[in-house]
Amino acid sequence: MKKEIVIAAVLVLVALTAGIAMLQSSPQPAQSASSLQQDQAASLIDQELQQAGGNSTDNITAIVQNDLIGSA
Amino acid sequence: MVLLLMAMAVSLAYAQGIGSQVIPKPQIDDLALLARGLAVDAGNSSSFVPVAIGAGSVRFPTNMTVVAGVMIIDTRRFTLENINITNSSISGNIFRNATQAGSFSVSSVIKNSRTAWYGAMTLNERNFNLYLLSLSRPITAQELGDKISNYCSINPGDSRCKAGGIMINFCKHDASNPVCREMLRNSCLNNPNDERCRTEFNNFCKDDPGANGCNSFIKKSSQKFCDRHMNAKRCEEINGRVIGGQMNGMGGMKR
Repeated sequence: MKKEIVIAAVLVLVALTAGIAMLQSSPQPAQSASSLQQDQAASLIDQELQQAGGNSTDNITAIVQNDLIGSA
Repeated sequence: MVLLLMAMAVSLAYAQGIGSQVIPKPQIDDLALLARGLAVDAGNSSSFVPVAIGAGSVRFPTNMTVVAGVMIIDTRRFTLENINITNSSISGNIFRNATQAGSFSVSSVIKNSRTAWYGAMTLNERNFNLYLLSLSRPITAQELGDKISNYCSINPGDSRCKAGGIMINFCKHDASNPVCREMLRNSCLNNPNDERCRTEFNNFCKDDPGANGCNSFIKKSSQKFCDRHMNAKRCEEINGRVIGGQMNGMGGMKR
């Protein structure tokens, strides 16, 4: 009787672990973007823009002011 | 009892392993626009501000794709929503602190191996003309592997794709290999809306505009501009190359 209880407990434990693993590994269904995801995506694009030199708009201002307006 | 304790230990170790899995981060899918330039007041050419724009699609680990963008006008950061991307034009709405501040629309044309964008912007009820130049964004080795993987999933008949993942892994480690670069350009011809593709083609075609794929890519990237300005010298050059094949000094598609 004691042996049967032990085997049953082991089976329950294994089933629970497998269930948790399946839930965590299964792909999530398609869903609409939350505002958090929209912000994350915008931040990633922003990083790309900065790395490519897009944030250095000051340079353009300097070029326009010095080279164009300054020489006029 | 010993068996039960062993099973619990194994289960806990397994569960801990699941918990410590590295969570994948969102990745850039397409970089539709990375550019900077000027917004010039439509009614007053002496009134202008520097502008930088970034827009593209981002893929999340759940496989969901989000199109997003930012616009920096002078030093103020705006976000872009309702972004619409076609082969050679991009439009969207401009937001500041969750309130719509305006909208924009730009089209591209390739001139002198640079991608230029022109269009219009409305900001706080003021109208501006936009003139931008694409920023150079070379593809990374990892991204090159991903592009080739995607290309091979769409073109399984390509002999270079038949070696399974070997070519993809090879290109991830030797991104400058000419075969890898050619596969990248093949991939880009199917989807030219990516600054990494524009950078690749603009660099590749700079010294040899007649090289394979150059004219086809330039035509796709200048499509909207040339639809509206068929008689523009630049469009006659582009269309002439396609219709007439190789033209004097201009170069056509090498087959």
